[in-house]
Amino acid sequence: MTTSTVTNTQASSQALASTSVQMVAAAILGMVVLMGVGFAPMDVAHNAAHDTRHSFAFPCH
Amino acid sequence: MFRSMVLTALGVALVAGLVLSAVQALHVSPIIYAAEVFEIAEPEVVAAQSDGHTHSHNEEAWGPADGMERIGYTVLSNVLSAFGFAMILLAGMFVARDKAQLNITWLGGLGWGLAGYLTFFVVPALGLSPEIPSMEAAALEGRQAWWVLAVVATGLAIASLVFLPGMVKVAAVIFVAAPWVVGAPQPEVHGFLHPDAQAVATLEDLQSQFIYATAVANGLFWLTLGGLTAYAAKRFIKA
Repeated sequence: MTTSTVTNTQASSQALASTSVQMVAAAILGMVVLMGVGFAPMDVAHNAAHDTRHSFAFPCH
Repeated sequence: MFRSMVLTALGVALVAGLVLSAVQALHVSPIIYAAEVFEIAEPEVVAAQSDGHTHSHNEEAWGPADGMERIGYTVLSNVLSAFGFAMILLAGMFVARDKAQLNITWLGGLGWGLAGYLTFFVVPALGLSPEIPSMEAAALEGRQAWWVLAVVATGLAIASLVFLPGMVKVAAVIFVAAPWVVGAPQPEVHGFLHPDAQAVATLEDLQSQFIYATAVANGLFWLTLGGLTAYAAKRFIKA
């Protein structure tokens, strides 16, 4: 009984930790994509995403 | 869960990105195109080497051809941006649900959309006005750094107001003030350097139209993105 409670608690805290890691990973992935589209300094990236950068009012040029 | 978040964000981004693209094609891009006509070509840098051989160091980098190709890359960039924003919204919605018992509903999603609009468009744009091509601006790196500061500070201000208990909510004031204490980088010369006064008048008119057009387009985009993200999160992500 005690053992199973401990196991459950461990399992749920592990699940919670894993959820937190996934949330952080999701937010980071989102930011990396945004940085690529909106901020990447290469001319090619700038030219391809030019109108999007202006439309979102990302600093451009 | 991560996988279903990515797939959900992709679906949402496709819809919200296309909504933005439609509004943009009708009301925003025409202003960019009109302003580009007045762009003054940068002088070509030609270096003379000691052997007398000259060649240009300023070869134009690849860019999409005007017309469908350019519109295609813009739509792709819009969808990718929407995906990035949707991933951040999803992470925020699930953390708020797990830590602050904030249920995910489409109506709440509109609230998230409004928060995203304030965070990623309104407040940064108050310091760095949405620009049309050929407008004078401060050095790019400084503006990008201030933009990131304004976004992070506004996000924290809204989170403080919504999630902190009682009087601690006043922490939001610090976050609202921070970008303005630092101050947005400003160019030495404001406006347009075009030599023709008539052209400058046209550009100034285009600039004020552009602020209005981007404010409307981004508002519609964020409400669509927020509402759809919450709806799709509830329907497609089990956790």
